[in-house]
Amino acid sequence: MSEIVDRLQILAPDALPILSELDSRDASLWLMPSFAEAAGPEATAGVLSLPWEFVLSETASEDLLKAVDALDSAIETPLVRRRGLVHVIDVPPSNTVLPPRSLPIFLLNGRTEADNAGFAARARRMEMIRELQQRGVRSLVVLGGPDLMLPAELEQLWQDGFQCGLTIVSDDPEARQKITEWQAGAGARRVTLLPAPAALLSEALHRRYTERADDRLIIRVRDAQGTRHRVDLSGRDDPEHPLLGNYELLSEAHLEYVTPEGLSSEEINGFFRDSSASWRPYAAQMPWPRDDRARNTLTKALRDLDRNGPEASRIFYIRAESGAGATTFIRDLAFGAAMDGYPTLIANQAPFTPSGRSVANFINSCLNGITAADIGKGLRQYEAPWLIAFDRSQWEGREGDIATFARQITEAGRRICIVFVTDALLPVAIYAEKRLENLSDLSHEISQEAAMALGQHLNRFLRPLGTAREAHEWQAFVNHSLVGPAAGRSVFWIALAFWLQRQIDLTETVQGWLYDQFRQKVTDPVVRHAIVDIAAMSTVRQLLPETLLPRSEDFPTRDKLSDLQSTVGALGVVRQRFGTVSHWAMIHDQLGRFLLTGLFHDAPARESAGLAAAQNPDHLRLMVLARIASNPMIAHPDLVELAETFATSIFKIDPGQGRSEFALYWCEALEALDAMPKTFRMASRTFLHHSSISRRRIAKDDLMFPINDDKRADLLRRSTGDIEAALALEHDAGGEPDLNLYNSLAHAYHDLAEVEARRGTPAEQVAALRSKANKATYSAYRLNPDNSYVLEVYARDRLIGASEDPDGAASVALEVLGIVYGAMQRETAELRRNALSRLADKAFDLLLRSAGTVDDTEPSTEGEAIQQALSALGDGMTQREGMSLDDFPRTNRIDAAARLGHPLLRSNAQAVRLRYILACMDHPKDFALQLELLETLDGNRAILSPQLDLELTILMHQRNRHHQASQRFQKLRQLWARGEHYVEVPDRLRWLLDESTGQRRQVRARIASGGDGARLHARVQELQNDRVPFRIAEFDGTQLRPGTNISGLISFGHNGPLLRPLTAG
Amino acid sequence: MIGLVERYANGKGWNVGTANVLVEGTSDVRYLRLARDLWQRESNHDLFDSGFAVFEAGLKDDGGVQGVVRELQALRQMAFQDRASLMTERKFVGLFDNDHAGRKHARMLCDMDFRVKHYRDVFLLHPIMPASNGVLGPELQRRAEAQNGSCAGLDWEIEDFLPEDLIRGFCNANPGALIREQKMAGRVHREFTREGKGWLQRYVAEETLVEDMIEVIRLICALRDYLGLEHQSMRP
Repeated sequence: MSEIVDRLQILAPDALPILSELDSRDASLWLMPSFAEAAGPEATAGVLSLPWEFVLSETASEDLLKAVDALDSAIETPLVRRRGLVHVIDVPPSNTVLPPRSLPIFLLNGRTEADNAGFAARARRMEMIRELQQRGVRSLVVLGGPDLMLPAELEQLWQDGFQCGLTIVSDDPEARQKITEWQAGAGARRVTLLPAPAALLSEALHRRYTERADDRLIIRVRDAQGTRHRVDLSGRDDPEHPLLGNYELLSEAHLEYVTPEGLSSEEINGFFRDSSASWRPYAAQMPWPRDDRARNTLTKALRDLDRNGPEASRIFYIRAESGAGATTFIRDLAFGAAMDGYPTLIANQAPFTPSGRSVANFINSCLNGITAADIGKGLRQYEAPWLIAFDRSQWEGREGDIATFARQITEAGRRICIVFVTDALLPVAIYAEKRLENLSDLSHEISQEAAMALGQHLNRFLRPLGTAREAHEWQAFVNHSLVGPAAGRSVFWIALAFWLQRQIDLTETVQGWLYDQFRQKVTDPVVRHAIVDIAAMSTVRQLLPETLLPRSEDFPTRDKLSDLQSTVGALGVVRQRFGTVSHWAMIHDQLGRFLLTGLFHDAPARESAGLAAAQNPDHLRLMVLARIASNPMIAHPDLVELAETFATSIFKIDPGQGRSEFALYWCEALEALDAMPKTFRMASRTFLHHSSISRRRIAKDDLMFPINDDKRADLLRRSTGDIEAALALEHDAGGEPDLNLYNSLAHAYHDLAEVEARRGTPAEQVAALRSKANKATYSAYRLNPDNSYVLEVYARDRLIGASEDPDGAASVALEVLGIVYGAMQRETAELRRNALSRLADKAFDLLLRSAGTVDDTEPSTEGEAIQQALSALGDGMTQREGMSLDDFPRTNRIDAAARLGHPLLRSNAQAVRLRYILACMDHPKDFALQLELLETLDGNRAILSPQLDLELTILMHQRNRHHQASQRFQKLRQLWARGEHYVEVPDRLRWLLDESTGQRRQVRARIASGGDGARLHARVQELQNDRVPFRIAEFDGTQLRPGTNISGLISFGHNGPLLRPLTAG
Repeated sequence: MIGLVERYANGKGWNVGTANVLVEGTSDVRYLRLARDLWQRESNHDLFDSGFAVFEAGLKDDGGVQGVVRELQALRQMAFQDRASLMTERKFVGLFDNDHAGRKHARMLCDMDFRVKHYRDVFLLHPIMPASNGVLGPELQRRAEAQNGSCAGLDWEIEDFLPEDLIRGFCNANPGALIREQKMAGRVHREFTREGKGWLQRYVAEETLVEDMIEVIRLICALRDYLGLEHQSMRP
């Protein structure tokens, strides 16, 4: 029961309208002393402990703070799970770093009387109150108490244009009058009065919230025999840095069976609008099974993990055209895996940087919970593999990092399959990474038969609602979409969703319909502006944070959008809330494009939107995105990931890596980046690095960007400056590492030196630039001499240096070839191989230029011996583009290897390295020769990189020098722990071999005591009784007690040998 | 209003049409243009009408197979955006030399983008370019392989369409230009030095008659066929 008087809604005293907002942490609290006194400290603390977004407190009485301190902080309690731990803060918010999930209670007046005076106290109070604006608070509850005194600043806030839903709790008999007066002064429109006594409200609110807050997390887990069990994992997540703030873990509640008839029309239409809104349609098997092959492949991969351990972990990608149903597809795969008892995580759509270590920690914690649940009693030890699924946005622009993410989890010994969605045109980083496998391709192309089968399938769900489509209607839709006027427009799946909701018929296009809706039903200019912004962000697959919505003078924009929900919903606009940050988005990027294209072609509307200067729809998009990027609110710490995305993806200009969306408008794209808030720009390594990469790419590509050398030099100078500024910033975990920055810096200085030389800059200035490039190169090389990009820049640096020193040309050519071909042995990506092979080509050219005619007589100097060897290698090769040593004639390689073994070159480390590479290729099982060569290099840190060190160590094992090998592995493990090293065990060294037969060597081992639950150790007789770990789960059925003898094989990883069952591999 | 493709092409000096063929280098474009000019004079048919256009991926190091990959991906993406923006629809296909690099990069294009289909969006040069008659993709590929089965594995570039006597004359006049010949089932692939290729181009421009370019004219007709343009009435 409620009444509305003069824009003041008065509720019944027992009404609790706040409960649902507490669920989504969409409400904040302002506590007044009168309320706290009336309710008492414990009851007040009970109210404060609910999951508010944050609390502003006018009181800091000792009793209240004691009661807050005494609140239950056990991490398994529902309240802690919901809002993290309580942090009482008596300093300005900018001086505090809060964990991602927490409940801050800001003491507006400090803790003591002394805190409450002077300028600092006022500044602190102002900053705390400003959080209301900064966080874009949607709903504010003022606990006024029996003597209502509204906060002094509240009126000022409203007068300044801040607005939110305001609920005032007060049983003051004069409350109505006081509020009405306040409303008149502040100009506030919507206020709700809850005339409840403080004690009553405290008790009722706390009780009713905690009664309904049963968010236990029960998942389905399979045991060794595939039987599914329910396991309670509540409290397994870190309450302050919750992994489940960024991921959803499919729980038993999601998996409950639903019949097709059990779905309501709202759920069915909701599924067509946004297939990520609910799991119930999946439980009812509503998604059409499009590609059984993908499901089978994934199931097989998960089963392989059962047998083969973390090494069998796989990473799959799904290529999908925009709007072609990838979200539904990947969620359906995830649902299927969870049904089978494979714990499944699905990443949220909000921007965040996935961390493999956080996921590994979470899985470890859950495994402890699963072990404690004691499922599968009497069966062998078993660890269920996990599926981790990502929709499109999480890896966009940083696809190269997904392998590192997976490695961090598998290195922790966890078994995982990762599935992620990417573009139809594969980003180069995915194409370049051999460990990523294609699972499925989703397009708008669909055969007529399949489309008709889809119709029959969906009719099962539509029929109970009376909205099934007749066969002839399906046929007409299919004809229209696949062979008729809409054919080739690539929107089959989107059109289907709109058609099934009866929003379009066959006489109109989705685009036309959508824009008409926008034009006719959205009339408020601010809402139009907001929807255009949301559409533009959706076209780059980003959500628009609510705090970035354009400001409205009369009424909060977000509320206007919500009020228009029936219209904006039809436009595909949705609000999503992750943690305490709300976002707006369009459900398909294509819908955003449709809307912006419509706007572009509607000249009057475009003009009134301030976009008259747009030259075409893409230019219009850029203008809108630039406007969003320049919003000062984007500098808020909560939005750093999004702000960085403007540099790493949205405005990134890197055509070679497939980022050329705004390449034609590169000037405006760079200007847009420069117009972002300075406080953010100058503090983000990632931003500085990626914007400098864009500048360097533009300066480098004279075909795509026809600009003069003055402009190129400007771009490159700015690029070097920005990278140096980035290096001066502290490196945060997960941020841009020094290695990448040094690499880019070296390239940028080299490029700048080239341009300056062309412009006729004095030689000493050019030399100074080269010297800086050289310094950066060596800094990168010191950090990681095995990284393919580092090697490329290093080789480039050496070649440039050699062109100024003809006498050393042969040695440099030899060194570069050794580096390049060594890297190519490990690099399978075509584009990386091409980049490396171009350097090899340059090395051969250098050799030919410096050597002139090469005689085939006995060499008298090292230089001659090198020239002869390399000439023999390249003999008769006119075309070397993209070739690795494998593509050279074997006779050339053998001849070159023999010449590199000339006594004059025995102590030449570069010659030995190239010989080693050739030996691995042409004598892969000759471990004696390989070891001899690498031992020659041992101690030479400049050449014996961690990769070669690893190979040398394994070769020692292969040659029965186990004791030495064991000591070396110990050092290598320390090295891996100190930094990022990308090493891998070559296939030929993967297993301990019997050199006489070339077969894998069987070993006998005796189980030692100790272990970590998943792994035990055994002393392996053939490894001089070295202690070698093995996975319990792999030795099925064996009594694994200390002292037991077992037989097995030995495989090598980067951490050393691992005992495997005889059936392994 | 100017679309993305047009703006991009203007920057490159390309004259794009609505049905475009991207080739590896300038020499391919020159031979094709020469054939078109000769055939237009001879028959009055303009092989480059109806929006048909040919251009090279780049000059020197910027062209070649990698240039075709880079430019074709960029142009197709822009054409897709232009189409979504309700602007002129344009089609782009790639034509690769049938050598190790060409085959590899044609495959790479298809691997990188599942919407790019062999023998629909990317083509390799063959001694016989089969008629499509509206059938593209795997079926056209099957036809190409069947009709060229006798010389499977033989590399093939545009210069190999030139008649034997013309090439002989050139080689006699320019010793050192030819590196090696590869023969199979009466077809000959020739590898020239980089300079030799340039000399050959000039030689052909000066010496050739329309009869010498018949195979190249047929190649253009085949490409028009693949792009869905009129070709039957234009064939020699």
